[in-house]
Amino acid sequence: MIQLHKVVKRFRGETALAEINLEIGDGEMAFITGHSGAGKSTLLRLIAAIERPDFGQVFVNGRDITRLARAQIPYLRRRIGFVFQNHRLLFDRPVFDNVALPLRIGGAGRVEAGKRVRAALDKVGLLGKEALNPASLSAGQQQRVGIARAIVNRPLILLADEPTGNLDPELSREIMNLFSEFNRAGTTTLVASHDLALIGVLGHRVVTLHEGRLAGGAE
Amino acid sequence: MFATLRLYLDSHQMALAGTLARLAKAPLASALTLSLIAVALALPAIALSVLHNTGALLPDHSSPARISVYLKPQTAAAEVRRLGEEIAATEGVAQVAVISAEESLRAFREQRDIGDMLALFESNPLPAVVEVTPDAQHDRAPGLNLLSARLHNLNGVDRAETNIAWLQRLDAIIALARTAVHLLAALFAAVVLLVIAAIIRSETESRRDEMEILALLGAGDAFIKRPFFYTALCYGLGGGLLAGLTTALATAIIDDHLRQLLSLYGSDFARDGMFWPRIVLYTTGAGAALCVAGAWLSLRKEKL
Repeated sequence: MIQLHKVVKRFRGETALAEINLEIGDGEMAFITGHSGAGKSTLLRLIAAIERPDFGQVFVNGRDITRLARAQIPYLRRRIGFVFQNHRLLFDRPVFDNVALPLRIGGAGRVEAGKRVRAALDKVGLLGKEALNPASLSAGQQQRVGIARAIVNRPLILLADEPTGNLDPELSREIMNLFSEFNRAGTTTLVASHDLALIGVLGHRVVTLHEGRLAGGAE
Repeated sequence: MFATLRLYLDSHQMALAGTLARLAKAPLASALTLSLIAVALALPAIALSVLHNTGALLPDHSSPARISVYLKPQTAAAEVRRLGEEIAATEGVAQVAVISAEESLRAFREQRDIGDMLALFESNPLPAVVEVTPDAQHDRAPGLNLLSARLHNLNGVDRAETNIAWLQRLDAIIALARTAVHLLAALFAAVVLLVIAAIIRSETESRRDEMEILALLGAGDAFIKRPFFYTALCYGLGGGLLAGLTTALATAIIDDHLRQLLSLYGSDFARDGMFWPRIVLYTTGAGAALCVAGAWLSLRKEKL
């Protein structure tokens, strides 16, 4: 589902990723771990075409996305659910509208959108909170709204960048269990996290990055 | 096919509804912007409308031009006849009618008041007149003025006067005013364009986060920029409508004065100015076009 081939990414001369070769199979779940600044976020951002590599190729679902025209990138992103560390919700509208954003972008009908939003909120345990403003929710709930938004479009791939970064261990485990659940339903899932203790318990593949290089779990 | 169109229209409807909600949320700021657009559109619109109506209020320019050539007083009858022939032979003259001093006197005597006054004179004070109809090449300025001057310089001619001299002066003034007003209109159009471009620019700055999130969720350029175009369109339509109504009202008031002014020149001008819904249509159209262009100007470089 995802292949990185000799990917190099530099920021102002600093190497963020050096010659990364990585393959994530269809329906697989993997954690990317490493110190902060090891390149975890950059790796995820390359897969969603938020960044472009300086060298190498990134294949998503068989297509080399480094060659995508600018106008094609939105279509790629609609197949990918992205969960951000700071959840990036819009506080000027209720939970429902936040979760419905990808459906509005994709052009789903209103009735269909309503059903899917409620289904997504149900999966993350927030059914009944649609009308609330996300600002009135706890950090854990806000992160779960972000997850509902990422899965509402039934993406092929779910990417999560430090989704538990701001949460206590209890909430973190709940969130990680949610990802495992989506993965069991067939979604290829890639989670960047530095929470080694938690990752160890979950028993999925762990890819370790160290200063922009793969230090383990590549195969 | 229909389903796709329906979804497309749905997304536009949502963008428009979102824009209106956003404008309603900050009523003071929206009202200020609307007023600004309205004033900037109304000023040139009033000027253009008055200019247009001045043209419409003027008497028909197609009334035939005439030159009255007054001969020197006490010119002998034979000399009058000779001058009449000379004038008829002058280049640019189509037709002449010679009115002798006696004929003039007779015509004046028929008007009671002036007739009594004429009795005070020992001899006939009126000159002989040659009424000249110019040919097609000389019935408009500058040909008309040229012909008038040519006739004025003939020996034995006292002076030559065109019947539409004041109209020509007015024409010249209007031509000057037209240039000035068009320049003014262009400047104010630029003002509207730049104001909207600046407003949309600050709006995109304050909604940068939202635009980025939409892009990350897979929204295309058109989807992300659509609300801003709708904002500009709302400002343009609203401001244009206000400007149109203001212009219609102002024009109605000014037209009354204009009518009085022009009636001093001895004509009654019955034709009406522009019908007010048409004014509103024009300003609204101009407002919408300028504001959308302003938004485009501001969003053109936006890359997400």
